[in-house]
Amino acid sequence: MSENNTEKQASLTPPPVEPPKEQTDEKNSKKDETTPVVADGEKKLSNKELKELKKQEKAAKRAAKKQASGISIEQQQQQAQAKREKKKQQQQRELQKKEAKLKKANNQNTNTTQTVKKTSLFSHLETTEERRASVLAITSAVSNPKTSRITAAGLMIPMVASAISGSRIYTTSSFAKSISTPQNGSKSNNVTRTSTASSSTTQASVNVINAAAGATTTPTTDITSTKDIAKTLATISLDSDEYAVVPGISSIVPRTMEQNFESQQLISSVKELLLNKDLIHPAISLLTTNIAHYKIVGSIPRCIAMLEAFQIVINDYQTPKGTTLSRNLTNYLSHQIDILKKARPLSVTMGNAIRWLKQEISHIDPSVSDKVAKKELCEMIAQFAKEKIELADQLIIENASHHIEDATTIVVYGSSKVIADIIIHNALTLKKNIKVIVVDSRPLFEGRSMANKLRKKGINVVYALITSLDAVINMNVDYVLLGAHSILSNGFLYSRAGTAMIAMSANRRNIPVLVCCESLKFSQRVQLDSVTYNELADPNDLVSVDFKSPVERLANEGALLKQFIKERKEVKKKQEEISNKSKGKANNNGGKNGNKKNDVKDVNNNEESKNVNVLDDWQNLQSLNIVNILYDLTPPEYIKKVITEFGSLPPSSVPVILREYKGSA
Amino acid sequence: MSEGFSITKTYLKFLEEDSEMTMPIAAIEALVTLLRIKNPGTAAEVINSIKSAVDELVKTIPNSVSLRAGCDIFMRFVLRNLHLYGDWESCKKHLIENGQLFVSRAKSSREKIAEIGIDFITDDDIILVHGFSRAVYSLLSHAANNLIRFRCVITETRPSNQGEQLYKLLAEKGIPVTLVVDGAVGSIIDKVDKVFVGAEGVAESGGIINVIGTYPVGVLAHNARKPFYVVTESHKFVRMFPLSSDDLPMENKFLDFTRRPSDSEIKVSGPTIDYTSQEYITALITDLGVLTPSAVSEELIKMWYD
Amino acid sequence: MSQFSNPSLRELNNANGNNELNVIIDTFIAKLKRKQIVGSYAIALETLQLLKRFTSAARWTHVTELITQLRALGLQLERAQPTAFTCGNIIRRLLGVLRDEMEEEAQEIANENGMNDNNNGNNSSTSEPLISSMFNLLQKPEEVQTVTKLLSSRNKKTKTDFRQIAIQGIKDLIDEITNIDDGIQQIAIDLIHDHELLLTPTPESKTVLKFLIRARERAHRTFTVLVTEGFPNNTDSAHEFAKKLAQHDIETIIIPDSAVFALMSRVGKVIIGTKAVFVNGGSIASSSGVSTVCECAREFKTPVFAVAGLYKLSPLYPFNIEKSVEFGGSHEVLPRMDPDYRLDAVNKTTAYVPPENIDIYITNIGGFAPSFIYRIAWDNYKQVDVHLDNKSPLEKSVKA
Repeated sequence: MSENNTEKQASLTPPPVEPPKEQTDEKNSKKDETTPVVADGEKKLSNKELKELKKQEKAAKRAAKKQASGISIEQQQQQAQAKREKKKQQQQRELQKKEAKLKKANNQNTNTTQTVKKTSLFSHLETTEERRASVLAITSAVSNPKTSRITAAGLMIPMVASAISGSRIYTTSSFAKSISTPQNGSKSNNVTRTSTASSSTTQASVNVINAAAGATTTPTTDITSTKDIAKTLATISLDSDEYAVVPGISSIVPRTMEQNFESQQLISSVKELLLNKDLIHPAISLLTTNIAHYKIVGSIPRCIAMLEAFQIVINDYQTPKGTTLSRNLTNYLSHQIDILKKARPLSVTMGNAIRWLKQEISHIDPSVSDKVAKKELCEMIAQFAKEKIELADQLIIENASHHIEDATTIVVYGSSKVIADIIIHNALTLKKNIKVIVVDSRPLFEGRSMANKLRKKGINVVYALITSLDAVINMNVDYVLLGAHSILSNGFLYSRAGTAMIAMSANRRNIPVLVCCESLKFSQRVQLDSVTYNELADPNDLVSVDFKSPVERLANEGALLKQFIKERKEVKKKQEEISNKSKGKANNNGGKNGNKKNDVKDVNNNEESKNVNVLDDWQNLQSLNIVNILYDLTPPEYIKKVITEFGSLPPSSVPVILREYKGSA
Repeated sequence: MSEGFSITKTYLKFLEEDSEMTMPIAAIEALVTLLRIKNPGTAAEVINSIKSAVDELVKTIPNSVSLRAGCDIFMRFVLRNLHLYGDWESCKKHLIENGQLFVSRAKSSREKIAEIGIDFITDDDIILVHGFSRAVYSLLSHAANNLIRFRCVITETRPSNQGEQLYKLLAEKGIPVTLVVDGAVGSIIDKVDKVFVGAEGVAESGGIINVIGTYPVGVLAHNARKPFYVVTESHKFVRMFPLSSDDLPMENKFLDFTRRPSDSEIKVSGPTIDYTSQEYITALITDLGVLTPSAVSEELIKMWYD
Repeated sequence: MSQFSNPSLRELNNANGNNELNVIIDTFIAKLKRKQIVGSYAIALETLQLLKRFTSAARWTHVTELITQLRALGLQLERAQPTAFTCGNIIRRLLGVLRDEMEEEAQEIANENGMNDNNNGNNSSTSEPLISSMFNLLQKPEEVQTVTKLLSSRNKKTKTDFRQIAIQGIKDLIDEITNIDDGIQQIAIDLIHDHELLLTPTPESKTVLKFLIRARERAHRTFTVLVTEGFPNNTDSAHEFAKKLAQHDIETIIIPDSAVFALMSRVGKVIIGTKAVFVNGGSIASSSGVSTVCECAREFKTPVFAVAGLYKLSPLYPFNIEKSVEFGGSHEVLPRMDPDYRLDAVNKTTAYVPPENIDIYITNIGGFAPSFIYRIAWDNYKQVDVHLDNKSPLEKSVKA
């Protein structure tokens, strides 16, 4: 299978698959082999060739008639279609075989099951894998400034070098043979860099995916002359949805993730991101990684971090010629936000803050100089954060403290800054005798940091998991204090998964439930249950049965680098042994599990070693799925009071606040 | 057929003589005395005399559900013996001779209840009690004797003010008690751990008939998810199936709006007993063990539907 | 030291030269105390093995003595691990069988001796004299005489017969326990329809697993199963469970415990396996989050059905739930703790589900509402055996 091919040292013996793929396999392997050799040579030739190419392409552009090349391209498309259909049939057949025999899936089926891995309940939501794939594609994208320039009119297209393809991996060695392109050169740079790179931001690749024009297989094999390439390339327009092509950029996506790029929507969104790749400020990329790795968790912390990053971005911002700050900055920020969305979906606080910021930007007087305007903006952001978050928190603490009498037992869930502050304030400043029961759950274990924080201040803390909830809630609890991610317009509370269970249990026992929530968290949305809108986290977080929070697990592990190394070694082995190993386990292990015992550089012989966790190969079982949702919805009947900085209100009055304070909320 | 023998008088005399006796037992004793005096010969005579005596009793003694329970049991026992075994003579002899035996058995049943029910009370419990039932009292005092440290909240149980009676008795025993008004139950129900009440009669559905105020306490306990236990002897099971408090035989009419000019002071009117249906009852603690309301109805069905 | 066995029983065995028996009993008790046997099924079978040896090796002259010895044994075992309810259940079942035999014999004798049916009439009018002893109030004192007469006259059935009966009873029990699945599956299959979403919070129940697999394979129902993780005690078994289901081609989804409420609105039924069922209709499950899950199901009016073999039915009433619920080690919950700032950690390992949260119990003899479970209990156990430490009236009358 083509997916099996590794970057350079491809298997000499392709797996027993249908012939057309074999062909391409072989060709790929040939290409692979020649790439390193040619790479250096390409470098030297690149500049000269580039100029030639430019001229030729311009000519080709004018000369090439769409129809003529169109047909060929259409043919190519048809062939690609036919191939895909065949592949699907093949997959179906193999699935049946698998069902009948109940064998472990070989790689083919692995990839098939990957596409099936969306559960029926949540298939409408974006998965972590998709988000990660986008982030990777973007962070690892490299563009050669010489080949493409971003101008006000759009990209100039001298050469199409790479794209994110739907299903195939191809190197540009097809080009490499015929043309020496700077892309290949840069790609080779990229490639060599990847084998040594270990920083978490520019994650290592497993494969280099480069597609020739048209994202199909056959044309590349046929094209041998620059002219033809230029022809085909010229006819490809950026806007055309048929081609997932972004010129001038080569990008790396692990082959485990490329299956996710089947949806056109995703491809076009990533395309857009890639186009604007250069605009991304490093502060934002850092923030993206931090959020994606759960280093910054919680709607308020994320919002604060985002605002801080924005301050940096605004400071560094230079208005391009031909436009004003007030008009262009919004656009610029939008690009940043697009990337940020790929870490995790934006929280309601972030959304509200962004909306406010954009409004403020549009109100900037154009006559004011850029420097002053930027300074003002930064100040306003600081003011906003202070007002909406710090001061709001203080007011909430005051309000909530009225309820907390001496000698109370309070149940809290997960981690919330406001709640922690309330308790600390009451226990230390107001000297009340409080006992706190912290309830926690997998996989984030946010409650631990909360428990530690409270305990360090000397408060009496009991820690329990959500499965022991019925024992804990019978311990003479007086109140339940909950934090919120957001409160919806119909009074529902959207908060960490598990909140609803606690609220329900408390309600059944007539224990009042209080929610502490800044007005920044109020949302115009309405939602009736937890399934229609939610955030899916990585299912692999649930695979390992241990106590590590995802931060610890993912921290600086360079998961994909490990995977890359592993796979390279596998390929080596494969070459040596020339046997058909099942790569299923290797693909999806991600190096997280079982690596605590082995050294990072050790060969992780997953094929031979036992699975450390029961579910290490869950992706192989077609019927098995893991769902890891992060939020749930608590009906307003379970909530007695919502405490905000404006005062306390019943949950049904949320739309009132939204109306009255529309400007700021 | 009355030769100066009044069943009612006999019944009341029994109750007077022995304060520990419950009403059903007194009724049975009175009926036994009736048999002894009248000494009917044939089966038909027996049935008739008992029936007429029961009717008279019920008419003259107001609002007595447990009285009916006793009469029902007696009647049933006699009928069964007559129908199935035809051996009335020895049965009659046994009944007449062993009047005292029944009384002592009944008293010992309260001890049995206390034994069985003691597992329900644990240290640090706050127990809510409504009405004055000797069975409940014996259970609580038995628990106190076994050095279980619990506290009691007693409702006044107006207008009969039975709560004060119980208050005094429990205070003597050294149990920490407090007296609250009937209306306060809603506010304090969250703080109590369980509720104990007695019963004047246990209906076929598994619900109970008890002094007025039991039903609201049951509903509040159910709402607050607190266990509601009924402590009663097994001879109080009565053959009735009321659907609600309306179905109970009562002297005072509900909601009497008539005003008599002769009344100088404002009198409280309304029902004096009410019916708590079985969905509010967690369990019944009887001398036969701990029963769920459905178990009670099964037994009653078996007894009566022959 | 007689830490393990009841002194009198031990002496009895010693006197009878049954040291071996003592050893076996002691080993079993030790195993129970150290929780080396886990799982109701395993405990039940082991108890039966022990009983087999006990009945064959024990010495007794009259069946009442055997009953006394069994009661003493049962008391020891119960004290060894009070939360292993199946142990006590098995012993009580056997006692019930023996007592039934005794009663039958007593009836025959009574008939033969030409005593008045009246005497025994009230006794035998109901299957298990639960409340028919309402008539006890008015019953004749001759009742007791019957029993003494019975004891004095030599039994028609010899000792050997009773031994046979006991061993046969044990064999029947073993058969029943090993074959509960068929009965359960037949009834339960009809309760699941196609394309349904089921939720299982008790993944370590073998009964549930077998039932789901059977539903898929034999009845060809297509359904999806949500399995909760049950962290921290049951996660491994949950993952194994899910894997097994997936291998049998059942669509399985593993969800973290916190997501139960979120997904409950989509769930069609909740299936739980139980560890013990009490006479009030409540039950104990051996995973910890189960009672919260059942409360969630109640909120959404989702039906909850519990599968349990008959041997799990216990005649006890759960007076004090806190005593029967077990807690595990806190290191499972909080592996690392700052020694300067210590916390309390709570780790429940079992859960009590009250009867109002369960809709139906599926046992191998049929489906029952929780309010009717008491009747099944009294059909199989004798009221007098509930408290194994009380003296039975027979013993009392023997001494009298």
